[in-house]
Amino acid sequence: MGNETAGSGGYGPVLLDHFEHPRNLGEIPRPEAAVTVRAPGSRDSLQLTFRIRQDRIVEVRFRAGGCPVAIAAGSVATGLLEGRSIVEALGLKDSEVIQALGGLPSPRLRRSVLVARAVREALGAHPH
Amino acid sequence: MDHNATTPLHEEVLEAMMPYLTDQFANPASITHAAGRVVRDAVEAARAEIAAFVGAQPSEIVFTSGATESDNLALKGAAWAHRDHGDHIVTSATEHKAVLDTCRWLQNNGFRLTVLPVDADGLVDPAAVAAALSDRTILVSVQHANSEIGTIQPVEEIGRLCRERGVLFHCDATQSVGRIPFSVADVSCDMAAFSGHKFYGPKGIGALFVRRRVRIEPILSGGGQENGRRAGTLNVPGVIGLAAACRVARRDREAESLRLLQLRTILLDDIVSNVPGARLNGHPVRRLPNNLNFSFPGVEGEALILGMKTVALSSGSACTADEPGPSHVLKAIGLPDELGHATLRFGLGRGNDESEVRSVAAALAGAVARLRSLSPTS
Repeated sequence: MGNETAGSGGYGPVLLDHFEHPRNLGEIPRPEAAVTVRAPGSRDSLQLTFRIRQDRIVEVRFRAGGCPVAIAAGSVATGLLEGRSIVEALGLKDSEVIQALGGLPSPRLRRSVLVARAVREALGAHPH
Repeated sequence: MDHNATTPLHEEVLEAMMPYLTDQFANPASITHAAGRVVRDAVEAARAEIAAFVGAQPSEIVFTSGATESDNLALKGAAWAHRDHGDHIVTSATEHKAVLDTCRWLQNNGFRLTVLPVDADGLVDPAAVAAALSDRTILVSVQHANSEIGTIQPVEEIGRLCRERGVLFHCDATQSVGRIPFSVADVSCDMAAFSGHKFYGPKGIGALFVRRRVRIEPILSGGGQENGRRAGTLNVPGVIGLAAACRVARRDREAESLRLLQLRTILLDDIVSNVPGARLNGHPVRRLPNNLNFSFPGVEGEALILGMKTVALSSGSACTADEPGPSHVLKAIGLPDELGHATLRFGLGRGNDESEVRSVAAALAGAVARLRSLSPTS
């Protein structure tokens, strides 16, 4: 049944660290932009809230549900997004998020990285 | 805490095997010399011990590489041998893949297949088995106990009705032999599969009980070993180890089952009291004494396992699994995908004690609460 996992589950130290000690967890009150996206057919979800000043992201907070990748990806993404202009943020690819996590043990786990979609839905219509 | 997947080798089993991994290496088929005859005698003594453990005659035991091969041999072997009498096979939706996939292989090769549903507790209804039988049915295969949710099937009743209707009955007893009483006479089965590593024996050895006068075609051709039913040089250390595991189980099983049942009750009570929304899967009473299976709404199984770090557990699904989504067993009992993704199996065994069970329950409660606190609020 399923895959049998104990200890690290085959994940690298960066991913595990973000899973165990997520950065920028929570939500920004009265954010300039906010989004919650869910992966179809799984429990994976990602919520991002943004504080934006002069077309630049000055703060991002996240919440995530589902598998370890979804949670760690949300955490690492906040660091990648903070300080970017909206245009730069819209250019963020999930492959960069995966790289920042130190890679994934299986290519199939890519579907748990919901960052690019969330950013597009949150900021795509934002004036920039 | 994953003893439904496998168990460690018992020290007495290893001790029994050691001579056959070292000095006693002769081929039991080499009866022209004394060394071969010594090993052959040891193998036949082991066969008698294993047969007695499940209430069979020694000649009714065929050694295999494990339960998967035993299930394959039973189903393909019996279907092929009886294809002149019919073409219909009946099984259940929660069988192990070794049975289900083999039945589907037979279906792809000209046989007709009925896969019976189970109820919400995972039970097969014997009346549904009876209703599925026709004059073209040659074989019914229903497991004794389920590896994921622990549910114990009414195999005695199913076996009886198959016998009355003159249909062969194969029982996959992999999860039950060594854990709960299993007797081929009580179950009225014509074939039964089991393996060593589920009850502290070695991996790589299994057996198939084939009732006297039941014909099966071999699926491995070659040297004619095992009375022509399974070719290949015998795994002698495995055979000796399987017999030793039966010996240990005969002595310890009853007390150990009671101990595991008490541990299981502690684990269940702790989970139900400390994890809001925890839902038990499988039958509440008719289940293996060492097994629990729980769904925890709002979390994902693999994240939960990772969050508990040091505990070896198995999840009902994982995003890395070859089978996407919840397992076929969880789907068959009607568990929504949402809960199937949030499911853990607890398989207690010899190495577990009360303090471990309590710390697992506490770690679980903490991990569920933490993961729920991370989730989006909208």
